[in-house]
Amino acid sequence: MNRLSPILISLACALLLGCEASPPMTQTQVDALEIREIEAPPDRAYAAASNALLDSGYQLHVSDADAGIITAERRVDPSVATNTAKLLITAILTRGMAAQDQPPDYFGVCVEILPRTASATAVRMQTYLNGRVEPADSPASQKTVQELWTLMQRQVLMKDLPVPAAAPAPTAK
Amino acid sequence: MSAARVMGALCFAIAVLLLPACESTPPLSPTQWNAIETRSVQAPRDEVLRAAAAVILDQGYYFTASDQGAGTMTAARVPLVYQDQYRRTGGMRSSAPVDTIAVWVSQISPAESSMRIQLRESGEHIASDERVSAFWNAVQRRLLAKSPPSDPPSRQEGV
Repeated sequence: MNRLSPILISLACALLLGCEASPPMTQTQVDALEIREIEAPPDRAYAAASNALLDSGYQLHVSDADAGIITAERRVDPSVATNTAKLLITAILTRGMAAQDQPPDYFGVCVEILPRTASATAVRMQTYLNGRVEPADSPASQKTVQELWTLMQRQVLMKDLPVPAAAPAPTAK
Repeated sequence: MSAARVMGALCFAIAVLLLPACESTPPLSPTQWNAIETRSVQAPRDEVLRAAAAVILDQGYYFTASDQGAGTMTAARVPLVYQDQYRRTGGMRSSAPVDTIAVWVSQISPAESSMRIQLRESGEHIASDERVSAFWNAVQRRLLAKSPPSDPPSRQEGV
């Protein structure tokens, strides 16, 4: 028993160290994750961001082009199976007194357009889940930002394509 | 006079003396609110608005209204206790009690602006000099970070 105690204590210490929470990110680290630059003037970056959000199924709630601010939100309903399972489990656990369904999830995004030069713009995207900000280094946040970013760049590239020349009018014989 | 009557009179007198202590603090006047919530910033209005928008996002709020022309911005964040209500009543359009911040920036002179910061928690107007100062400090930090670096001293050639 005496030999086991130090081993158990050292194991407990090792596990406790594993529980250490990671330190909060500095504002510079958050900015590095949330802000990206795009080769387009601010008005085009703003239009591209609006289009990207609409393409991704977001509903725009706030849009102020002069301030370069957009707020958008997307509702995702739980599947019927999830809803039924939660209803059944809560009904059984509470003996039918407080059965609860699964509420929808709301994914929000705030976009800030920051003019840098005449042809370059910085874009900050911050994501929210059910009204609360998601950490910038969370995989869900990074995935959302990356998807929106790809769509935005596609929008800017699409507008860069040359307009096809009009076909020559048929000459009368 | 019986002892019970004396005791009764004494208790009544004590109760009357204690009642004024229960008086709530008088509501702040508009001038007092203005003094608590307004700060001066040494920067043009548009720069202060941009810095304030960045700080609003830094503090986890999302914008609920913005008017660059008027210099106002309103933002909200959902307290954890009201998250379920937020989800069940329509997200950003819901009536769930949220914490809000309203910022109004106006130009005083070409290089100076006035910024008013109004905080509400679950609808209740908050008089917090500390929190207003913390926001103001964060805005100033953002402004300093954005200000261009000063030109390096020109090298003297031919020396």
